Amino acid sequence: MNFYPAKVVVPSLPSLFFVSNLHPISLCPYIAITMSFWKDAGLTYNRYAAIAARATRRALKDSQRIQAEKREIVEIRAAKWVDGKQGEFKDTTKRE
Amino acid sequence: MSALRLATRSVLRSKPTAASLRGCVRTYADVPADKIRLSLTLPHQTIYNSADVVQVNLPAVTGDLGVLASHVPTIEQLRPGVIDIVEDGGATKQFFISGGFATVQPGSLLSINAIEAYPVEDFSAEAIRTQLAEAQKNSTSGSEIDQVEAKIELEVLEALSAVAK
Repeated sequence: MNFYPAKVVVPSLPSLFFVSNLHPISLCPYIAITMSFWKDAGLTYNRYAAIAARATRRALKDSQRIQAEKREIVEIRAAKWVDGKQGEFKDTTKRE
Repeated sequence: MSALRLATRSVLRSKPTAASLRGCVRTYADVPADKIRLSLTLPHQTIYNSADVVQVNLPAVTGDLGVLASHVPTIEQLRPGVIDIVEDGGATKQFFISGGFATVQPGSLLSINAIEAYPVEDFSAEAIRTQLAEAQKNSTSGSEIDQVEAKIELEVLEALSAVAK
């Protein structure tokens, strides 16, 4: 007889932090902090966090900066496949 | 056939069942009464891995807060700023983070996730100044996205310039 182990569900960290489209003002009616000027402009939190990280990396001393800037390099080539045929490679590093 | 069943049996025995998991539940008595267990992690590096410290000051978006032992569980979004960590023995370490989240869990467990965090000494005032000038220029001209990005950089750099001498 097979006894399957009990399922252990671990909530993933992103799901704990993700606030989706709730604007902070709607959550705190008594605090008028517009921390989401980037949200109003259409940026996602991921993009905001990446830009903030980029700014801190560029402010480092030279000894640390070179190693840190390597983390910014993203090389992805994406191509859409239709009917079994590979389409053109798209540049994914460009903003839409 | 019986050998196969024996093999699967032993594999199943090594997997945690619900009964054995109950015994492995982490108790709150693990952390010393006057300390918090801090984990400060970046995607590429772990700065503190379950280290017992005395106090941590965090720059949250809703305000600055200091976390001591037995802090109320909370999840805080952090703004670009400085984290002070008062370690056991009195030494204070300061890290500038670019942003992230801090979670205080029951039992004095604090985990801070940030994207970039460096000791305050690792920043160059010269680089901050040039960046600041450029960001200020970009925040008033250019496309809207460029302006917003410059505003984000301004937020980070202004917090940095207050700390890095």
